[in-house]
Amino acid sequence: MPASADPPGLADPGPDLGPGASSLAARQLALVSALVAGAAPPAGMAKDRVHVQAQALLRKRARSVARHQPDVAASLGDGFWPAFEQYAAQSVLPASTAADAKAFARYIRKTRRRPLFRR
Amino acid sequence: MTASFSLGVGIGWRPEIDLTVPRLAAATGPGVDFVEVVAENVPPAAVPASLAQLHAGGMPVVPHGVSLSLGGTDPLEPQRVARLAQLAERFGSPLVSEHVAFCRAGGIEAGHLLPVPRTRESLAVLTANIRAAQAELPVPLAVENIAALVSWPEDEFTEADFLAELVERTGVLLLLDVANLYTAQVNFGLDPAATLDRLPLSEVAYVHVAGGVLRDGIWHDTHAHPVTNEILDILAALVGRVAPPGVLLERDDAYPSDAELAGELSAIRKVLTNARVG
Repeated sequence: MPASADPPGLADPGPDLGPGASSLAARQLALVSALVAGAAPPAGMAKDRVHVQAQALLRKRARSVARHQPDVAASLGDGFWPAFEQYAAQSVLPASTAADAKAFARYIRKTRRRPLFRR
Repeated sequence: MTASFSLGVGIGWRPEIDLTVPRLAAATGPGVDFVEVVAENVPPAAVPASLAQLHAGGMPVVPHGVSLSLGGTDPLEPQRVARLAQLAERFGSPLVSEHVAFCRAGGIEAGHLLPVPRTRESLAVLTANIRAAQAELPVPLAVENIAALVSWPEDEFTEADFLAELVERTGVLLLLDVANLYTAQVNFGLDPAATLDRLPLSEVAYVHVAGGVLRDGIWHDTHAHPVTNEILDILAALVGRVAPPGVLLERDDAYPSDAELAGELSAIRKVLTNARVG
């Protein structure tokens, strides 16, 4: 690796993590984006495995939400998992499990309400 | 740095089994010698009463972090390291542990531990982050091999050589998860014996044992299913090579009866007795 000559005047770049760290950052971002934002898998990574990992993450997230909102989960019964998949497909990942659980409960209230009359 | 402590057989303390753990510990005969707590779930200034009581009764507590993202290129977050340090102080812990993994990138949380590409670049990132964490921690750090479902095409090292290199560069201890060696065997065809042969086993601080489930030919390390004989066989293969200072059972969901957990702890003890070196 050639001796690095950082352009002067830049803000503190943080610790030197070594050569290639920026491409590593791009690879890591590609995987996380594929898993939580439905982006294409990182080049060269087995697509089916990325799908399995994404599903595993979703199940883990669903279990956490079910623990936070046991009443909502119980009221949905076997419909919980399909409902959660639908909800997750159209929402960005909230900052915390509590926020996720709240957003899911809101989604269920909104989508499951069947008004008798519409004005 | 070789581990200079002895832990025995332990179990992951979780709020859901906070009454079970003392019952297992108080059982006649050998019960529970130490517990591990998930650092993110235990506020240092507001330790749950049942855990505080267990610790006050002399139970060693090892803080285990899950969100440092030591393999991540995002900057290490000092407050996460500080929390591990505070918990180690609070409990007088012999060590703390984390993972060889990343769990966020570009500020986006994955919500899970993800494998890093086993490249020189990743080694540099991990080395820098582990050294930075070690500088802030009052006790030794051990890092764990994770359970992976995906692998990177650019891998240059085997997992064993990658971990050995990290130990060599940083003096970090190892938390060896034998269930994750089994996961690597099923999901990537890696021979656990070959991995054990190449790892610096004298640097293993303790061992994780957990159950999982096979779904469509892929092993999921769920911590919600019983520990299988195949996983105990890898523990036996390890113990045939070295006596690890500690072995810990992890259960995180679908908690079984006290009797079933006690049975899994006994099975671990049996492996330790039968397979012990010499």
